[in-house]
Amino acid sequence: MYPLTKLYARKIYRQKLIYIFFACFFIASFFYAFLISTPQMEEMLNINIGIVGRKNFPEFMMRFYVGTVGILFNVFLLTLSICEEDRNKMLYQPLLHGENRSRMMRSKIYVAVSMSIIFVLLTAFINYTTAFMRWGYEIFEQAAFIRTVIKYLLSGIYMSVITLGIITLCICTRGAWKTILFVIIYLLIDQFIYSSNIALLQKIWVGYYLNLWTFAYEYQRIPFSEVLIGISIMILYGIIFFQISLYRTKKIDF
Amino acid sequence: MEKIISVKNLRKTYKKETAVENVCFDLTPGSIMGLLGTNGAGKTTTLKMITNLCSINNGKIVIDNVSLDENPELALSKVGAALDTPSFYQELTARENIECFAHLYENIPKGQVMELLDYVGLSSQAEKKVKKFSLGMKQRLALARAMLGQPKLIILDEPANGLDPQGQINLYRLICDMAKERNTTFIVSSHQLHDMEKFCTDILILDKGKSILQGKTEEILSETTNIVDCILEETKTARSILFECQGISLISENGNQFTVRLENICFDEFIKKLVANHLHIRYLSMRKHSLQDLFLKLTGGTEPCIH
Repeated sequence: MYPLTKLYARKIYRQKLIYIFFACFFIASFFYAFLISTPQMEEMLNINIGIVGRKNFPEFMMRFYVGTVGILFNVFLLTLSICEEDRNKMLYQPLLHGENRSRMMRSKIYVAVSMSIIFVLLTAFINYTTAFMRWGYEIFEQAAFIRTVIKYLLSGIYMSVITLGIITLCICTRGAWKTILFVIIYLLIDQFIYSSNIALLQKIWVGYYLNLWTFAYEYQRIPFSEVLIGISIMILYGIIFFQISLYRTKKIDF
Repeated sequence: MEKIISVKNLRKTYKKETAVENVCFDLTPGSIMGLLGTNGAGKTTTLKMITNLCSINNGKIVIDNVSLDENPELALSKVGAALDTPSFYQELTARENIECFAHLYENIPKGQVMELLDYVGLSSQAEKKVKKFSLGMKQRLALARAMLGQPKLIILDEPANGLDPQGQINLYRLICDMAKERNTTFIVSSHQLHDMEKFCTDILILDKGKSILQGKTEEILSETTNIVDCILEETKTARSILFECQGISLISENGNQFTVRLENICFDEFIKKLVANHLHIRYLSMRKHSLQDLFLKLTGGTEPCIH
């Protein structure tokens, strides 16, 4: 691994926020797994434990991270890692020690993207652990297990593209609050587009496919063609964000 | 003669505003250049252009015979820098902070980090978190970081900020020792004119982005202009006479204490003029001009009046 990538990885995993967040997520997932099976909670939450529990529980819990919460968590981490470092005059320090801008930004991107995928997988691990604690081996029904793992991987791809988008925002705005604001606007637009009937806009909107996979194909197998189109659009967005980030980094006057 | 850095016609504009214009200088190994100027004169922008943190609109920078424009990585491999207020990873210790950046270099011996900390007098604080450091300690740590990889040129942006008088003396002594022992070249921007006068071999003064004076410190200070400090009775009359007299310019006044620069007039003639105008002289002393006098003259500033 490149030394600068190692440095950024070490730096980001020293953030206490990550451990606090996932500890909270584990507690939430644990209590949810045990509480939703009680008749009172079933009635209160208006859920059918036959559908959301057991083998479907990890998929049910996936939406609590992937999407709004995960994106907001990533945006906080990334603004700390990029915008705050920029403000504290730490972002350019590697450039004074023989690094070039492109390598510096690539290192940031590699760490951030891998972090976002790891977090999705960690969420999967937490949800499977709590589901196992509650229902035991019942949760590993083959078809549901494969389907859910695929959905987690697809969510990982989506989160990595969104992470690239957040990095682009950080580099373009160079301000933490502006970046957070733009991400909130993105989330609002995302909900609007998914619930609207503008087919053309939906087809080219990166967030539409995640919503499609998690809501329209909830507890169902996603057709291969939908996966292919969704991934292609996401890769396209990813490449655009990556190139914009590198281009803007080269132009920054620190 | 070998040049460690050569800067030609440097220019930087931000939208319609010109931050730096036509700045040129050359430095030989082992020299220490003081970069002076009022706030906003373009010092930091100049330093950032040299370190490639800021784009250049026009001009050429060559570091140790390597053009910054053509091969920035090779050119900057010979440069160490501490710019802006010193910044570090606050949660890491001093040693860890330096080690983080030491990993970016190839072939840095294991013990060099501690050696550098020892050199700047921080070896006893190596395991202390940086967030507990005073500004002066951070300044020294920034210098240690700038020294990583044994650069031929070290750029320091106001390194004495936040240091107590003893700390400033120690820092300047450290810079002088490095320049002599290791033949390292320094570019130091500062407002400490008195200290810069003592330890800089070269001076460059910027004003509104333009170079208004540059050269060897000795040559600059050996100019013939003299400064006279005097205490005169009849303050009002004295002031009007000093204002009107040709060949004299009033630099500062504090009650009945005046400091004037003799430009086209010798000291004897100056005394004759005071006597001819029936001014009572209580005190009179002539001295060579200091860097501060020169700086104030060139930038149009005045000395502070302390009542």
